Amino acid sequence: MRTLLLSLLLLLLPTAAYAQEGDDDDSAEGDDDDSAAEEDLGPPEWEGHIDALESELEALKRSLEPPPKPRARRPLPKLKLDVGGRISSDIRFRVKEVAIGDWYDRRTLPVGFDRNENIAKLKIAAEISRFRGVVEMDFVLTGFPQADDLPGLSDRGQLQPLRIETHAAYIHARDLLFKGLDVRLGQQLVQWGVGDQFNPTNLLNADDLEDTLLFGEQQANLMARIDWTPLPSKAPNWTFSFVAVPIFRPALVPPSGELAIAATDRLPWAEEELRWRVHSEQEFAKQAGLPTIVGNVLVDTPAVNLRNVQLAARMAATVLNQDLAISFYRGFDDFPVPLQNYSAVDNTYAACENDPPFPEIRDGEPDEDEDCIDGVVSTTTTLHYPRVHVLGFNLTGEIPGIGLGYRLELGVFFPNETQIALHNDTILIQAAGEYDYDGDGEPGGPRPTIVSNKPFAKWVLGFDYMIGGVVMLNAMWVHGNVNEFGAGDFLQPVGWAVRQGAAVGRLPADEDDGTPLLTDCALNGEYATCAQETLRPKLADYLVFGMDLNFARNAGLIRIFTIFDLSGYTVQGYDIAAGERTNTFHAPFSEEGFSAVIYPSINWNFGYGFELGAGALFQLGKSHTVFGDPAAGGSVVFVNGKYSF
Amino acid sequence: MRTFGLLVALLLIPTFAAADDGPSVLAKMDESMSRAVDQYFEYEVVNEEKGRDPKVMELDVWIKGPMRLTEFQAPGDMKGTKALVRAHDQMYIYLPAYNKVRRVASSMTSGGFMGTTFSNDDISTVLYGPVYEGSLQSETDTAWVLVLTPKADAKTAYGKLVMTVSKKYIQPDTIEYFNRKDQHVKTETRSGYTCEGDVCNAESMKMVDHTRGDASTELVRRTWKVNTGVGDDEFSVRNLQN
Repeated sequence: MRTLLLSLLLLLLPTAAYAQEGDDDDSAEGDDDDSAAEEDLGPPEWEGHIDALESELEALKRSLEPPPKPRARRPLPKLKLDVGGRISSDIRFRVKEVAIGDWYDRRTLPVGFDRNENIAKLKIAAEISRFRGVVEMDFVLTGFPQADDLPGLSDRGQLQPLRIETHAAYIHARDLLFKGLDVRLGQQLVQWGVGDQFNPTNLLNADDLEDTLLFGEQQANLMARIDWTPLPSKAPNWTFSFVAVPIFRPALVPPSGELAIAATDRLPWAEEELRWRVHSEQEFAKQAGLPTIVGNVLVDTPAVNLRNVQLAARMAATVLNQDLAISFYRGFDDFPVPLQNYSAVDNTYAACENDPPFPEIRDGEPDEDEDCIDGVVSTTTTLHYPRVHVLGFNLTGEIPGIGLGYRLELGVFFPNETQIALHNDTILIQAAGEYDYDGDGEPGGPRPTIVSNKPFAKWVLGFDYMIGGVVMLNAMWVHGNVNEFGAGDFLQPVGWAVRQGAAVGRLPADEDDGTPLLTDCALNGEYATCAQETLRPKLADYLVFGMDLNFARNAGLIRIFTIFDLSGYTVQGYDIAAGERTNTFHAPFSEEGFSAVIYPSINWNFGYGFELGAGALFQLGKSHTVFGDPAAGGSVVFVNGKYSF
Repeated sequence: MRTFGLLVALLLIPTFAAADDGPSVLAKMDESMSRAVDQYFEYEVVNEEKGRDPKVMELDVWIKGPMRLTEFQAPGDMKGTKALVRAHDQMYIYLPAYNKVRRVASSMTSGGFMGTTFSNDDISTVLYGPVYEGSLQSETDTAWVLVLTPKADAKTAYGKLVMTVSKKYIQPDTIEYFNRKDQHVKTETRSGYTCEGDVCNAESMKMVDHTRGDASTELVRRTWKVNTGVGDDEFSVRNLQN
């Protein structure tokens, strides 16, 4: 601008000089004091010219339109794109075979490689202004070829099995209609529980137990979530949340869970006398060459309709420096329970214990002591997911003065009752139709209870403390494991879980060894004298203890994670000498009652996102215990590595 | 008479200058460190230990009053991890692998902050006055030396801090950390102060841990913004999960 004005001034100078000459002429004509004027030529006249020039310049300045000011640009929100992920590899080896079931229904997890999994995780988050979209997917190469026929050999999908897990695919709007209102739609996790790994109030997402080393992981699910924080600046931790899950998703159980169906002695209903009778009948049928197996399991998931939409609400707050929340959930438990059994004789199973495997043909007759069956009583079980309402309570903070962090998570469950219907085809002397539950000679009667409608509570009370900045201790009392459901614990001893069942007796043709006759037990109502069961509360108690030892400035981590079963086991049976049924309690740390998980691992972080780890998962206890159960998967050792970016 | 008055005034000047006691210097320092309504930093964090390759992390930090929000950007295994300090005894951590916000107890604050030589306690101490009593140990033309001891009701991992406070910036140049047994365990050096208006901040903060063979962590400031207008609601559990 200044340059422009200076240029104009320079251009105007000759014109001004010319005008000055003309002015001189005019003044000469009518001015008598020429000499005096000449004497005064110089500074005064120049001053006049300069004044004139300056006024002209000012006029010009005024006439010049000021250049338009550049319009202030409103800063536009920029798209922020965040891409990350992880490549990991995990190899596990089972160190000891675990097996369940008799020879005609044997299920085994052999010694050998149990997992050979490579995962490419990709996470993309795009954000602009108040809006955000997130996708997180795992591409999982399982490593075990699955082809077992000729077409399979030309199917890449069977030779290199690949699956995709979607852990997140949602859109999120912050302060949507007004400040403090957040909305999130899509595949997501809602983690309200403050407990570590064990969360009785995390009910909106189904559990994911596929990987036994990830205790308590949950599956993302499609849902709509609204969080309202009325005073986001003054009370940012006061939040009201509402969630709707349109479609129910069941829990993902571990592959070893399939072994559980061979445990036909774990009768699931509450009525003990009916259990004793069925134990006796099963044993009688077995002795008669028709043992019971579970031939098929059907799953009845809740129908997709408005009535089955899962709903939840929560209010969270910070009061007196403690974080607390109350919540309500209406929906379903994500672990199924039996709803219906149908049993029929299947003679295609006829076999002897030492028969050679197909296609070899047996040469010769069975040995004298060799066990043979004429077939099986094959049961088709239908499972369903019980409806439940849950009041949740979460509290976390620290105990003042000692810096001990605590977390309390409590769920009070109000289940709908589930009864099981038992039907059968003609089996030995049992007529086809519905089972005669009350033994009155007529089919039917009051159906046995699988889940009673009595309320029950599951909780986690945990404490954590750090010593010297390198050792972190975590201890938790867990009441009710993730798959335990229904009333029955030390508070209300009304429900038991059968861990093992049998009927001890002989057939009339057998030598009298002092045991009762199975015919009396199975047919004449004296089942109490034969039946024997190993029981534990439906909701058991566990001590979870973990220790992290960080060393080499957090590059190294030694972790020991343990779970001890504290409930013990009760063996119920008939004492012939006493002439009554008796209970024998096996304490938690006794030979028969001990059950624990010991999970040590070591991890080394090389920096830049590269880590290697190794460890072992030991599941200890007799086969009737919760962790010694073959269906828990047995003990494995592992190595893993990952690179995160 | 005027000459006499001037003489008295001159005699009094050193007296007034020396009147800077520990509490007042501490108060001035806290005031200097809290002049900004809020601040935003991007740091490169370099961990060094003898015999090992240095490890580098990147993190973003928002500070407003006593509140601090830290988000890791690198390396990949820590990316997305967030730590929120709402008060000295109210801390949260968000671990993206678990998709969960976890309250952190104050006993954890003695531990290293994400593998650095800075402890959670060091990171969470935004102002010193609310936690420590200050006494003036010595003074030079350029600095005060303060001895800070924890207040009776304060929870802190240290038994004593010896702090050299720059008179130019009224902020710490060095902080020597002593444990409860009066052992010198760490030394923090803050250097390269620059100012935005009357708000000054060190370009480098280096913590040397003498208990771990003088392993060190240096936070090198890459970006610094003052008074960005960030709202209080950003320092919330709600924001950690977003």
